[in-house]
Amino acid sequence: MLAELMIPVIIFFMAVFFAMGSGVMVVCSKNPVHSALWMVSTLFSTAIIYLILQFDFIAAIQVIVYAGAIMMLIVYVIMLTSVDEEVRRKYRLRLYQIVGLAFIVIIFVELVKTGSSHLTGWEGLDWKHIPETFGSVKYIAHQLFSKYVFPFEVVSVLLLAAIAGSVVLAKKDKKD
Amino acid sequence: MHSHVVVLFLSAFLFSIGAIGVLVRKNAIIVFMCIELMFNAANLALVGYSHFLKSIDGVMLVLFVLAVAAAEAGVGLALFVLLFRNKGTIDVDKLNILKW
Repeated sequence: MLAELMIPVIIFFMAVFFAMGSGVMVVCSKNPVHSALWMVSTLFSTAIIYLILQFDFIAAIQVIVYAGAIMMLIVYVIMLTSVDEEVRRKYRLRLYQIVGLAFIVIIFVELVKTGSSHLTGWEGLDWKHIPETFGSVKYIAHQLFSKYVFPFEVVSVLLLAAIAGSVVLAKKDKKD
Repeated sequence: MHSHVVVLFLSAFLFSIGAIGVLVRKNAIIVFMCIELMFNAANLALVGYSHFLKSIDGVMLVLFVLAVAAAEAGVGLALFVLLFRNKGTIDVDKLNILKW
């Protein structure tokens, strides 16, 4: 019984550490392809966390759309542009970078403070009080086509505009 | 065990790492990936709160964020290809043609 309860927790913490490590590696690896692959592993770890939080559909969408479609697109564009490693030149932080880093530290501290102070009364992962159907496709679809039907239609127009825009941007000029 | 703190900590951590990447990296595609990392962190916080508050609204927002991120990826990467074709580089420090 105890082991049964512990296994999701262990997987959860492994996913958390893996996501943190791969997130750092996305920024730190010199080769863009390595960076992209670490990004895929971050997205997978996040999908595992979604699964443990009982949102199966979102986890599947995360893997299909993010890790499948968007990252594949990014890897293609890396292939089309350059796979050169960034040259390590003498790196001097500029003023805007220092200010930006300071702000990032402040944001991080504030986010952690907010996250740990506001939520009282939630004792860990509870998937006992959540109905089985909560994160299911049926429930999400019901919400999507009733309460959220207008944003849904707007998103379809946005995607159409994005398709048209990227085709127009990427096509070669006939004149040259 | 308060795992909501862990989820929100991970979200804050990924967001900060993404922001640092946007600041310090030079390759436009890696900058783009760091932006995706920040999207991902926001999604994680939304899903975490959705789980905690037992409300589906956060998850719906995540769905729309995913759709918008896909659209943005298509247009943004087309822009990078175009930049590389015209300028021969996607180093963000060298792309300062808007400066006069």
